[in-house]
Formats: sequence, structure tokens, C-alpha cells
Amino acid sequence: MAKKILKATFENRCNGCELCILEAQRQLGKVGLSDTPVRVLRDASSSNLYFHLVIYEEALENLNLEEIVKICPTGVFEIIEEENENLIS
Amino acid sequence: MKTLLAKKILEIDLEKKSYQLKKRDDLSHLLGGVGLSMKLYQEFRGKKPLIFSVGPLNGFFPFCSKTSVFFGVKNNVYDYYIGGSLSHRIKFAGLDAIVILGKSRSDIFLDIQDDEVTFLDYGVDFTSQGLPGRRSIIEFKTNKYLLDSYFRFSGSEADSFLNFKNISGIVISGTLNFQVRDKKAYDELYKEILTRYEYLNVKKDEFPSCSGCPMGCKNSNIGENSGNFLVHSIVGCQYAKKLYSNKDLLISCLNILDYSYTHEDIEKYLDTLYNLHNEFIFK
Repeated sequence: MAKKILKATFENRCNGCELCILEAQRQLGKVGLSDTPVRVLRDASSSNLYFHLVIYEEALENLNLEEIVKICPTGVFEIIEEENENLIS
Repeated sequence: MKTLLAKKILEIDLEKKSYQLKKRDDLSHLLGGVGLSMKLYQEFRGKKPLIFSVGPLNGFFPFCSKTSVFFGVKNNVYDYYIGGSLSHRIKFAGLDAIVILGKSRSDIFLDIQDDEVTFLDYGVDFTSQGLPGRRSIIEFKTNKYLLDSYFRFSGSEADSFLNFKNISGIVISGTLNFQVRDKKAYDELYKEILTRYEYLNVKKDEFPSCSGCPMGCKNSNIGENSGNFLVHSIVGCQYAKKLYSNKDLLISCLNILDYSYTHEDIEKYLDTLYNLHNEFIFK
């Protein structure tokens, strides 16, 4: 059985709006930035501001990933299907 | 008005290196942002306050992505609005305003996490402070203060004022999660607002965006000053003025968060604001 996984395939497009975090949190019934399934880290070490995404797959298990993909204004995410090796088909 | 939530004000005294959180029921009729800042400025005027404040919708609804920055120099007062992630961090720290009083004797960094403040001497590795992913960093770089190395204040007077207070930097982390009673209605309203691009006065672009705003507009780093009282009370972006100056929409948003403001309350509030405004000379 294929497992759906959220990937930040196009991380370089992220504009730091954090709508993905807020969407995931709303699905969990929360508003805030703690214990989030997705985290956006800011890298200001160079002259530009860049963003890195950290995704906690386990925390996303019961969430609607399509909604997270949809809310991102720059198309950072995609859902990929991965075979679950623990299951015998 | 029935149930309005008390405002949470974090007062920081730079001279005593002390701080305290105050829950102020008496300020609950003030929506937030510029209204709250004006009232606090009036109260603390003698201590040269620098006031950062947010409104009730910051962090909860799209396009409410600015932070009010209010201070006075001689007889003039300045109301600036800075974008980036700051408003969400202040909100998720559980605060409505941060009031920084007096002047530090030497260069200082402030590390604010929720309602606690650590006073750090100049020379510490400031960028390692705060909580990654939940922090905003305001730092003096070259000749001005920048938020997350990109967003800036809309006027150099804010830079001068921070410099005058000997503040080399501020890091603010917010760790609180909130709950909304009617999750379904909240989610629906949130997404309905998010689709109203046609009400925005700015084009979508590919620049770093403010938290809670998908636009990535070319002006996100510039900040704002003065403008619409109502929009700057909820501390929304000026480009979303058409959206949030619609009182029906505004009240729907407020009510879903359990603020019980009515149209009449908003009108009264605006009258209060105009009266307060007349006491100051805005620059």
C-alpha cells in the first residue's frame, strides 16, 4: 500500500509566508507555531533571506496534505507516494 | 460590549533591566495596534517608550501581517508599521504590546520569549538566541535595523530611536498555541479571505513575504507609516485596506475569535482614536 508523503521539492521558491504551517495547525485545531508538522527556518546569513523547510512526516499522518499543497502560493510542495515496506501486498 | 479580552502588555525597563507582564482589562476596548499604542504612549510618555503592538487578528487571519511601532521624539510622535514575521511572534508569545522604557547604560540585546526577557550584553552570539522557526530577529546591521536581515522600518527615526536606547538587537520568540472555538467556521472564513486577491492593492511577486500573507510583494520589506486607523488597529497590511475596512468582515473575524465587538463598538472606538490622535503631532 502506497503511503502519501509531503515533500518540499521546490524549497527554493518558499517566500516565508508560513501559510503551510498555519494550515497544518488549523487541521490539528491549533493556531500557533509550536509542535508544528511543518517548520519554516529563516536563513539570513547571506545578503538575502532564504527559507528552509523541515517536515515532520509522522505528525502529518492524519492530515489533509492536498490542502497544505494547495495553500502554498509558490508551489513549494508535492505529494509523493512511497511504498510501505512493512506491509505485505 | 460584553466579553472583551484583557490586553497583555510586557513592560521592559532598560535602566533597571527588569520587566513585568500586565493584564489590562482597562485597555480591552482598544482593538490594538495604533489605538493601543497611542494610549500606552500617553501613559508612559515621560519614560520615552518604544511600543511594539499587534491587533486581534494578527496570526489568526491572512494579510494581518504588520506590527505597529510607536514612539515619540520631542513633540512629535511616529507610527510605523513593519512587516516580516514579527507580528506573528508577538501574538504567539501571548502579547498585545511590548513597551520598552528608558535607555540602557550600555549596548544591550533583548531576548524575549513569551513573557520573559533576558538582557544580554553586547558581544554575545545574538543569532543563536531565540527559537528557530518561532523567532524574529531585529538587529543593527551596517547603518540600520533590519528584521530577519530583510524587513526594515519605514523611516530612519525608528533606527535612531533604537540606537538612542542602546538596543543592539531584539529577538522575540512565541511558543504558545491557541484554539478557536468554532474550528470549521474559522477555517472557512480564513480561506474565504485568502481568496480575495481582487481586494488587494498590490501585485503578487517573488520577494520574501510577511507571515500570513501569500503575496511576496516587492514592498514587503519597506514598512508603512500612518494611514487608515481601523486597518492599523488590527495591524493589517495597507494593501489589504479594502478588505479590513469592511466592518462586516472585520466583525465576523473578531467574533469568531470570541471578541464581542459590535458595529457600534467599532464606531465608538474610532471616535476615541480620533480624539486621542488630536492630542499628538504625528510625523
